Amino acid sequence: MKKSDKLTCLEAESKELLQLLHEQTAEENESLTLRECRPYAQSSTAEEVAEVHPAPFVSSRRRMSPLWMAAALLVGVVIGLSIPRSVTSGREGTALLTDSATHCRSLATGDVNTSLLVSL
Amino acid sequence: MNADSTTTRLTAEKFDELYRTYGRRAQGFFLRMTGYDRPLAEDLTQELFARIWEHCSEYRSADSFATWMYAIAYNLCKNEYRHRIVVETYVQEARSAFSEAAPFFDTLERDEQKRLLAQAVQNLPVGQREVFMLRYDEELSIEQVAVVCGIPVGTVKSRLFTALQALRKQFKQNE
Repeated sequence: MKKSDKLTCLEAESKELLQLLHEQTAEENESLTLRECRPYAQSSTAEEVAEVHPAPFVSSRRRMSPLWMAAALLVGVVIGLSIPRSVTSGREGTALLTDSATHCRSLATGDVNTSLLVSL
Repeated sequence: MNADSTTTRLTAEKFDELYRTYGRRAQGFFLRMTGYDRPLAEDLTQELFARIWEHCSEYRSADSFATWMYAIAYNLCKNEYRHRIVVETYVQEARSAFSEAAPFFDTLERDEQKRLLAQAVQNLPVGQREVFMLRYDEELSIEQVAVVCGIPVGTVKSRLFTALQALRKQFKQNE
């Protein structure tokens, strides 16, 4: 007897058993609760994300040329350099700056003048 | 069937429809394949349909959807088996539970019979259990089972025969 014939015969003989199995499967499936499943609502790829939520920060960063960045840096440096000049413009300012420089030097060399520290 | 002639795009609406039609079946399949681990079956169902959506370009038609879906589901189960040695422990436990309950089988009610039958199916070796479930629980044709499992039709038939014989033997012993 062929393999498929043997299987068909066995299936026919096991009709009751398979019926029981069908019932069991149907009952099990019926009792299941399905969670909500909407993968299409989640944008998975970067392009999809960009489509749904255009990111201004990312795009503006891309548009900012190195020239602008250099100019901004230069402006920062100029402002930074201009501050000490304004401080040292007067006599008092010069004295203060000199004192501070002395303190820093003594701290760096380890030669700490306690009276100076107390006065601070 | 000529796939090209029936090819349709998988839209969100179509996806929802397929999920409503096949969601429970898939979850039931995972439930039985994972030894009745409900949370895992739910997770795998979500994973399955997420993959289906991810690979929506491979969707051909509603007619061939079942085979395609079960092929992905089958692979998910295979991956799960690789990560879970626990399954083996479960099978051992189920086997011992069945042998303890067996002497009382002939006096049991139909519900109990069903429960024991489900347990007996769980006791089948993995290869036989897979084809058995796909053929008799999910009602796929022998050819579809061969495609899903990636094995020859002859192997499917012989596994089905052996599985069915083993189940009958188990039941006959208890009559």
